[in-house]
Amino acid sequence: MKAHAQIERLSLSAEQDQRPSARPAVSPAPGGPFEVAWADVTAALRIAPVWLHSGWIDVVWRFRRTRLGPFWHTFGLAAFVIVMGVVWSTILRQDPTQYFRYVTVSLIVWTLIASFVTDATGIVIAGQATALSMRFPYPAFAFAHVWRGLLIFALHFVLYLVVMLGTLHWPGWAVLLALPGLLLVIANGVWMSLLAGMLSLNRRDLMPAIASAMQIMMFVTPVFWPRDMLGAHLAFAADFNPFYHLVRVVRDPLLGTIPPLDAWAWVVGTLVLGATATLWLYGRWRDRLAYWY
Amino acid sequence: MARLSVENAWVEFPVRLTRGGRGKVSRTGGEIDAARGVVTALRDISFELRDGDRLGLMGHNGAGKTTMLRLMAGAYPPTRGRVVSVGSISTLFNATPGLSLDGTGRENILTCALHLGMSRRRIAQKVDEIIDFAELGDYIDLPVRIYSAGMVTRLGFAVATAVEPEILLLDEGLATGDAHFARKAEARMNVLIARSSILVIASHSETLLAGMCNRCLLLEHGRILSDGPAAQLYETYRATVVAAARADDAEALQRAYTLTTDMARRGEAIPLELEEQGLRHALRISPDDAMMMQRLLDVVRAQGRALPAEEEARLLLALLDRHPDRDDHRARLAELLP
Repeated sequence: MKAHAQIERLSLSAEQDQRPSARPAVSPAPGGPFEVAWADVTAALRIAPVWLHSGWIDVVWRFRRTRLGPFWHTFGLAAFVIVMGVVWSTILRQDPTQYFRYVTVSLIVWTLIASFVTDATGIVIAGQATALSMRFPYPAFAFAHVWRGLLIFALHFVLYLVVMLGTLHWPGWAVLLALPGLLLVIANGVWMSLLAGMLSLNRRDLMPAIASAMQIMMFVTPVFWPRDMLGAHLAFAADFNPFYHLVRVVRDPLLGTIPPLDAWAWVVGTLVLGATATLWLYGRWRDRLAYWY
Repeated sequence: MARLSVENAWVEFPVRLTRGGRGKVSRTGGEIDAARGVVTALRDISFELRDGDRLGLMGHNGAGKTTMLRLMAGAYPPTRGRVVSVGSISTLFNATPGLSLDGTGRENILTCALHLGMSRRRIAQKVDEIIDFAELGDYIDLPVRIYSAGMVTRLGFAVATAVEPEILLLDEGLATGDAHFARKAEARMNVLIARSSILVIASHSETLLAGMCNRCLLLEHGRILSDGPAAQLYETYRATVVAAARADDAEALQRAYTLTTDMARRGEAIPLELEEQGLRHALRISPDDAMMMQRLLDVVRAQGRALPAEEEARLLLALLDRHPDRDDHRARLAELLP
């Protein structure tokens, strides 16, 4: 009995002495879909320095040869917002200053959310050299992409500050709710990016298809116009649109209104359902992904 | 304790075929199975590597060398069987992970080294050594876009070999670059070999493999043809090919042809008996090539042998048809046909 305990202790200490690299790596990954997916998500989190750096340097490199650099994002959006603000406030008969703020914030938030889907279609395909050189956890591509989206969001955010100061508008303390809203959007962005990247790797047609779909989505979702303009018959088109709720939990606080409970419920619901479905699919496909390049 | 074991592993690529025959074997590449919609790049591979093993992978183009390296790296999970590895792995294939043409050399060193698993602190310690080794000088702060192909290769090699892994997988990266860099690279390789405990290198060059490896695998159509020391391996393989080709085995004749052309391309001395079989295959494909006919006659005679009388007579007649002034051919023909 005593000897048995001793052996157990010995084997335990031997386990602790092992360095992480000394653990055997088995390929194909053993376990069920969720086990495989979770192992890769944690592996991706462990290599945070890699995707934090690659997301950052991507933004730097993309604008390397331009004079204004990444601020092209800000200026491009500013030009868009000014034109939209003047033309559409007249067409829609809205109060110009209020509409101006509405369109600015809407567009900034929409651009962030849309980039998690539209631009994410290329992230896994672009990682070919990495994915075919080692056993790389694919969720790291999604993390890098979401991080890159946040950096560009930060550049756009300058425009938000400018507009708020320019129109002398203080949204009130409700603005703090934008933070949990943004966190939920980020969490949703991770599964959306991974799913879009994975699906487009297998079916390359999805890249242009998703780009077109998201363009249409921008006009269907209440981004340029308030939801009330849909009228009673069409209101469901906004209420059952998950993108509308994703936009709302960040946009409404930034404009000074508290998002209703059903918006939060929708966003959390999308996160749970989307993340579960994506992890399950990822776990099933993990060992096939490299063959789709 | 590094270890790498491959257990009955298959690598099968899914393909969508518009049309195709049944399981035909092409001259290069894996087997195409149209019914199941897969190309078998590696078939039922098993071997084990332990500390101190230096494995060389040989085979013609498309034999499965690169796929095998990717299988060992864990990039391609086997479709059947499994791969178990213990120890950190670094790879140097044709594309360096994370490399971007818009970044400068210095920025790319950081990005690529991070991808290959080095920590920021370690990279900061080694960055000067990497720059020095890659011999990029002032180019290091210029974008990679303007680098020559050799400079990009040197940069990739310098980064990949700075990682100091337990298992190092290389894909003929040494062949590129000029002679001076190739020598330097080989010296660096030897240092790495001393430090890393398992090395796998895929190459066409027998001499390189014979010098570096204590074990070689010869691959063909995704199968291991033979397993043994480098120098001996090719000789036994050639001997079996030549023996089978002499017995008029169509596949062996084709293999002899592939071996001959590969060696000729690399400027190596081709054994006469192998060249003879290679020429026989070539003449089956293009029976009217006078130069090859002449070469076949010369090769056979140089071995102190003669072709079967009927075959030689046919060759001589065809040659005389083109060059009626060759009296030596006429005389030999008269000998053969009394």
